[in-house]
Amino acid sequence: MIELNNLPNEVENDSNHSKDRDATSEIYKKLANIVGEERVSESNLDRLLYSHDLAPLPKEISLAFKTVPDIVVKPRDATDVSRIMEYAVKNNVPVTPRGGATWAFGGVVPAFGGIVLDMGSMQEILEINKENLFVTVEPGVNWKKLYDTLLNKDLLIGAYPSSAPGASVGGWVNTGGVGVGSYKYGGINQLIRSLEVVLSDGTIITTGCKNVLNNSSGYNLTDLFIGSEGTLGIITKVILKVFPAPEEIRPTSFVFLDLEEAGKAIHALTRTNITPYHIAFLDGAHFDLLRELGKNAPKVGAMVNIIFGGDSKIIDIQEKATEKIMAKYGAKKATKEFADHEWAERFFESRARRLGPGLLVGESFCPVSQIVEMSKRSQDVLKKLKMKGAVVGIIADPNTVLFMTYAISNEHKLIKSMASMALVKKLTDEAFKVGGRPGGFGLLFSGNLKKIHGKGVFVMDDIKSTLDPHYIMNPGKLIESTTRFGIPIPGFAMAVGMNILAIMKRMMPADKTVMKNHETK
Amino acid sequence: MKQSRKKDGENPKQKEPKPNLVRNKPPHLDDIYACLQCGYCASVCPVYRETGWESLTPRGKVYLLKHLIAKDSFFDKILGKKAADFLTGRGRISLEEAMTKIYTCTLCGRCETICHVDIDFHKYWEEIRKWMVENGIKPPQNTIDMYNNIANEEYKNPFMEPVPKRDEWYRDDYRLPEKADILYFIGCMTSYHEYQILLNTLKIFTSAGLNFTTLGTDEMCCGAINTMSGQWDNFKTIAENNVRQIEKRGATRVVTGCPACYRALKKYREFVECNFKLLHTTELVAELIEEGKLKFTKEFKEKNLPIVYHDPCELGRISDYEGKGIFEAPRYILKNIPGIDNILEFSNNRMDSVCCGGGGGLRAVNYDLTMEITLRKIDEAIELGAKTIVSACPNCKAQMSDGVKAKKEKMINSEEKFKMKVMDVLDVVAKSL
Ligand SMILES: Cc1cc2nc3c(=O)[nH]c(=O)nc-3n(C[C@H](O)[C@H](O)[C@H](O)COP(=O)(O)OP(=O)(O)OC[C@H]3O[C@@H](n4cnc5c(N)ncnc54)[C@H](O)[C@@H]3O)c2cc1C
Ligand code: SF4
Ligand code: SF4
Repeated sequence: MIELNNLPNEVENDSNHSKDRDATSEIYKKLANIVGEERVSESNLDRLLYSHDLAPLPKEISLAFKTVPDIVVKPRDATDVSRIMEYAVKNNVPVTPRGGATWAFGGVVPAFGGIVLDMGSMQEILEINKENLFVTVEPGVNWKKLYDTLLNKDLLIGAYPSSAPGASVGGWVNTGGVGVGSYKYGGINQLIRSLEVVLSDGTIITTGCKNVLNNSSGYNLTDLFIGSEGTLGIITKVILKVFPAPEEIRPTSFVFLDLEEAGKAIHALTRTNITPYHIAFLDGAHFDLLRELGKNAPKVGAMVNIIFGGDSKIIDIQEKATEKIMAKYGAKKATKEFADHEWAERFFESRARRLGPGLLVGESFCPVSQIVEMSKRSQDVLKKLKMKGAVVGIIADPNTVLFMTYAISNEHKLIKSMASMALVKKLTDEAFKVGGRPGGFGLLFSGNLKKIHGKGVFVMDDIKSTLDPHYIMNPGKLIESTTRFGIPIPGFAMAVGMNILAIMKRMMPADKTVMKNHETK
Repeated sequence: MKQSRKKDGENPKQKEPKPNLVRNKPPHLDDIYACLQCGYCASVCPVYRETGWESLTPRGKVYLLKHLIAKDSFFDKILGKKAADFLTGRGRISLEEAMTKIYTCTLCGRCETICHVDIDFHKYWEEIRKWMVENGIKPPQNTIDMYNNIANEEYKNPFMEPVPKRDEWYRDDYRLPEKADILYFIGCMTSYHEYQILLNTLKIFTSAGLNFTTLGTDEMCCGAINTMSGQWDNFKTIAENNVRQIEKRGATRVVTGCPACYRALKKYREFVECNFKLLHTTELVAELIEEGKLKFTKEFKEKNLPIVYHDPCELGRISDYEGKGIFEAPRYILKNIPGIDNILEFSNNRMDSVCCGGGGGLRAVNYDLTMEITLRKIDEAIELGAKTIVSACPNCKAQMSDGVKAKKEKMINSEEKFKMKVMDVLDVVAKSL
């Protein structure tokens, strides 16, 4: 048995977990009344687990934000969400919606405590309509599960994030993502027929039409919520278009001498009418790191994975044409087994995290015409910051590359890992320079919003205050960076801070990765 | 019971009263730090599927462990722990609550199939439980009771069943030899609860003319419950006892129908020298069919067709991680049964098989939760159109039979009716002899 008095600081033994804060807190009673006791928790343990996403923020962030929520709720449906919002608006409690928590920008991390709405609890596929080619899902549905389920019924979901086994449909809608399949079918914004959204005052609205396109006059409400990072409303239903499943999905892989040639080849391919299902590229360093992990990975300069989907005969023609283009830039075609393996690995981009342990990803969109330039710049940033990492990315449409350059960091070393965060800032700067833009904003990068949209930000601000006059919908994200004691962080201050971090990082010795007794299978 | 435990005098839980998780780091520390928090594991976890709480995902548990072993941060040091906790809004974590989370898991190992950073979860969860117990954290009371019952000479099984009852079912009908080449290790679940499997196994072995015997009342619980619940301190004694008994009978091959026993017996090798080959009954029966030693005379009842086969986690996936998964032997046997032309498959099978709900000692921690997992499984079987679920594990059989009963009770007032039989592969074989 445990002796209570002798416990170390960190732990304490008490049996009733819902009671370790304030057993009868008002908010607990109210919310339990709406959804039932088993769907609410304010135990220290649960609150801790809902206070973070992928990015390991140091505890010190609490000086700026109250990342630990006061309570976690798992709604069952839109009515639950609506009643929770009514309560929140009346009592001025911030609400942070959370999907799979796989986005690393702090979107699901509360800035001011309050309620975390765990949308993962709504994970039913409600209707698969083959007749009208749509599927209605709850927001917590996992992308991989949806993809698999539909494929079993001879249907294809156009695109999904490469985090599909972890990400939720609602989460990807709110980050406005592009991913696997976007080259052919577009980003999430092109795949939605309609959304059901609960607004901050509890009103439930529908934004589109489930059977047909929403392209006519009238403000496009659907697009308003896409990429809104949970700051405008809670999505409770998503109606997605679906496509007949292709006869074949055929992965191919091409090995290049370096990333420059690979970039040129990709540029050339995107200037043709060949429409692969998906295009991804990885520089040789990615495979070097995999080998360091003990994986069986090839030694290459760069790799381009091109996946075709459709009728086999048409793929045959497209594949031949693609081979010709690739060969022009010195590529060798890899074996079918290798290409299949690469395709299966599409979800596992971040294996190298074990080497740190720690990993940072710098996400940016750049024009395909600048792919070579941006690749070089990204490699330079890694070199200058003395970080180990790799330049990887996907082609989102014929003129958009999504770079997801990553670097290994060491979470155990606070200063060093904080300094490593400068990577993200530096990569963002480079993206702007080549005519691109960074990815999301979340908790820390709202400073970029104005850089991209200029005065448009004021319109966004108006939209926000109209839909969420009390600022309780995921406050502190996307369009405002206000810290917990009401002190705003202007974009430039953030930038200055990040630049200081970058200088620090450059002064520190290079990162070494140490592998400790890990046997890989 | 408690007394016999004290006599053992080897209770580490009482020797080490102060858990200091920060100093006594857990095994697989690298894995804890390597975790990306990508949440892929949650998508395959049956416990998460039914509960929806982050704290019951593998990801959440890894994060929790990371928190429990974390040193005070810079912040804690300058501000003091209390002030830091106040400012961050974090509070102290109840160790008992943490323990309950870690034990709310079927140990099915499915999370390992998808882990982004290759954490060997089939070992990891067991070893974390062991580490917790070694650090003075009490495991769930039910598992402590089971531990005590196994150590008690009057029972030697987790269910408090008397020793003489162990061979009561067959003692008089089968005169088994003192010594034999093959030893049938029956296991507690099969001996006391699922004795139909026991009787059918004896019938099959006899019909094939095998030279075999059992340990009779000398058999002691294999100790799987001990390893699952982290209470390892007398596992070596159990291993020694059973191995001594096996050797006394001169067996060169030990066969068991229980995947939990199968794995526990395999672990014996780390503690005692074992000079026997270990087999699962399905492997042996497949061999007998191949050699033409079993003559089937009866057809499988048509009204119970079609059948669907469920891969037990410990026999399939986990054994695969431990060297060799047994997926094909049961299917081979079923294909050879007259009347069975087609075996349905669950949408997730073999390495991806979803736990029946009854694994990992979860029944002792949260029975209702295991039932929810089982009901989802049964619903899938119904959707597939199956009339019989066949498995190769007494635990799966018990769990799914309970599930069918529960479902029938639920539907008592509904118009819909459903029929579902739950059988072991060896039940199917015996019925056709
Ligand atoms: C290995 C890996 C690969 C990735 N690959 C890609 C990729 O290819 N493409 C890509 O775009 N991203 C990618 N990501 C980033 C991330 O996984 C995606 O953005 C993903 O779609 C986020 O989904 P989620 O459910 O985890 O969202 P969360 O992280 O839970 O939430 C994201 C944001 O949406 C809000 N939100 C969530 N659910 C709701 C809801 N129901 N209503 C209102 N707001 C909500 C949250 O408040 C938050 O601001 C990747 C991440 C990883 C770890
Ligand atoms: S072993 Fe099974 S039940 Fe346990 S965490 Fe992994 S997937 Fe979930
Ligand atoms: S799949 Fe592995 S890396 Fe990802 S959250 Fe689960 S345990 Fe961590």
